[in-house]
Amino acid sequence: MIDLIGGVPLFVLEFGDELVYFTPYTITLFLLALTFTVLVLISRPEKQIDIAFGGDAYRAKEISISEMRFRRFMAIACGLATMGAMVTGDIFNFTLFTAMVGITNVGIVAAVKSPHVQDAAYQYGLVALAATVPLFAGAAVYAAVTGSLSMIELMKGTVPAVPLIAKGMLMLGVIGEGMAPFYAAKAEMFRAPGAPYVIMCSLSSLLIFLRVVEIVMLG
Amino acid sequence: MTSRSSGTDMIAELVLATLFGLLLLGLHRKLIARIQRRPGPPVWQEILHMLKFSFKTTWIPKTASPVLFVGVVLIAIGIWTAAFYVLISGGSLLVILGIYMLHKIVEHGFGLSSGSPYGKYGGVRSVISAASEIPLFVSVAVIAVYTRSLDLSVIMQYQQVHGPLLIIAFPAACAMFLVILSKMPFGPFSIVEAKELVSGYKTEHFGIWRAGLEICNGLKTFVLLAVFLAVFIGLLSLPWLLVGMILMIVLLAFACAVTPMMSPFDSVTIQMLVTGLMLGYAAVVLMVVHP
Amino acid sequence: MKMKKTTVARIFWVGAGVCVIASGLYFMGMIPLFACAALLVVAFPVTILSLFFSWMAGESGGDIPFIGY
Repeated sequence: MIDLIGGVPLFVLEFGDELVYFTPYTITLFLLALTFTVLVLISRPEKQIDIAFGGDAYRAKEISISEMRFRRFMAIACGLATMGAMVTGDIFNFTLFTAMVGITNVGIVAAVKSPHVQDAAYQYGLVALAATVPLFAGAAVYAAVTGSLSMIELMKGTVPAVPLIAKGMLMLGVIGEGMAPFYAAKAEMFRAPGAPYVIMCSLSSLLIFLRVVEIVMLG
Repeated sequence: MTSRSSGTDMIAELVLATLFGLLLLGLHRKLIARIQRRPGPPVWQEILHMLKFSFKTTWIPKTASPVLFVGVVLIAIGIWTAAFYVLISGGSLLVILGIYMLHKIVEHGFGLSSGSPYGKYGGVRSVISAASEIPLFVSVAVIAVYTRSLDLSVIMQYQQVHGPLLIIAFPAACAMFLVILSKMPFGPFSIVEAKELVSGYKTEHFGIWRAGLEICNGLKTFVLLAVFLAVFIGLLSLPWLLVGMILMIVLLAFACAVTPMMSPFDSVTIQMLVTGLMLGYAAVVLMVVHP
Repeated sequence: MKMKKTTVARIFWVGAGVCVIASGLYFMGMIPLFACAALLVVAFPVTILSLFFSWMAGESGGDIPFIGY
């Protein structure tokens, strides 16, 4: 329908079935994911202060070293999956990276010892799990209709038009990973201390949403 | 505001845009005050504010995550600098949209990095107000249906031939106006800086960090208003662009002055309703323009 | 972590130099827009914050805080 949404591809790497390409749009998103992943690498978690309402009492939450290590690992994995989703030129790889972002998002808060956060992570996990069904089904319809999963092929316009239902399912799958209106459980997850890691949760689903907007406009 | 090869002084444009954006924010405050029959601060108050904060003693709170606390200020200025250059080079509207949505992550980072509960709730509210971005996407999709491109330069060329999109796609303009309104201070949707949260996500960023945030706000205001004018009015010469931005600020100030700040729940509900209406409108446009 | 006024001032001059050189090179058409924009996106925030730090930082110690009546 619309040609070259994210600009002319600057660089295309065809590596067998794997396909990596950069447009001005995806390179912007990639660099942002990279920046925040580097922030996760080099920053230490903050000490969150909780106030007891009705009094002057407050307490700081400390994060233990082992908990910090696990969460930092998960946050970096999440950053890598996000970067992968930004640069990939293959729709199936994109869905895999999206599913991995959902898993690592639960992982980022899984080590937090707070019942609220654990409940929210569980509920978010259920939504993300359910969302992978339309996500992979959407990719399957893409493959069935066009015979190709390559975004470069879709961009050329030589393949048959992608039906609206496939685009809708792909979009629904990504929205289920934590965009409005499914972010309600996710907002509760942000109670967890450890700002650099928690930010990765919201950043990853946002970037993946921005990327899928480009993808659904291609075919 | 067209794609240009060379011959412009980039850094001077950036600094002037920032200062003009701050002046617009000052005008916004002044107008709100006059509408509410208060004297209000002078128009250049936001510039003075920025300078005042830049002279204050500054350190990093003991509970904060130091790298994130500082890094997020740099990122805030950096992303809007990038958006400014995308705008003046007539680049893709999608990139500006992406940066607009990332601003929310930056607000979240501001709030969470300090460890203060007020900042944290401000940050969480900025994530909850994600609903305000969906009307933006729908209005962009409508524009794409008409112009068949998302490059600002192509959108402006389209409007030179077919007339302004403000008339062709008026509901999309309304939705984008609402999106800009949700990012203005003192507006009905500015739940991220509600007074019960002290200053919301910016509570703990004082001194120079706050001055950096003011710079970001000035640039953000300039870019958002200029993008609105470029997308819905078309190519404007510099004096008309500035006049258009001042008119936009007058409209926004009226909208902010006469409406109370909503509760977070109501704010999200209204934004979701607008999203629903816009989705219906987009479906109609899609059927009429591309049967 | 404390930084001296002179260190911050040096960071400012380096950042400002990058900004001016990048926009100057673009002005003369020697580098494309995206290169100039990329340099400015990195250098501009650093320049601004270090400028503020350099004029905020005093050479002497801080003043005595008000500690109550």
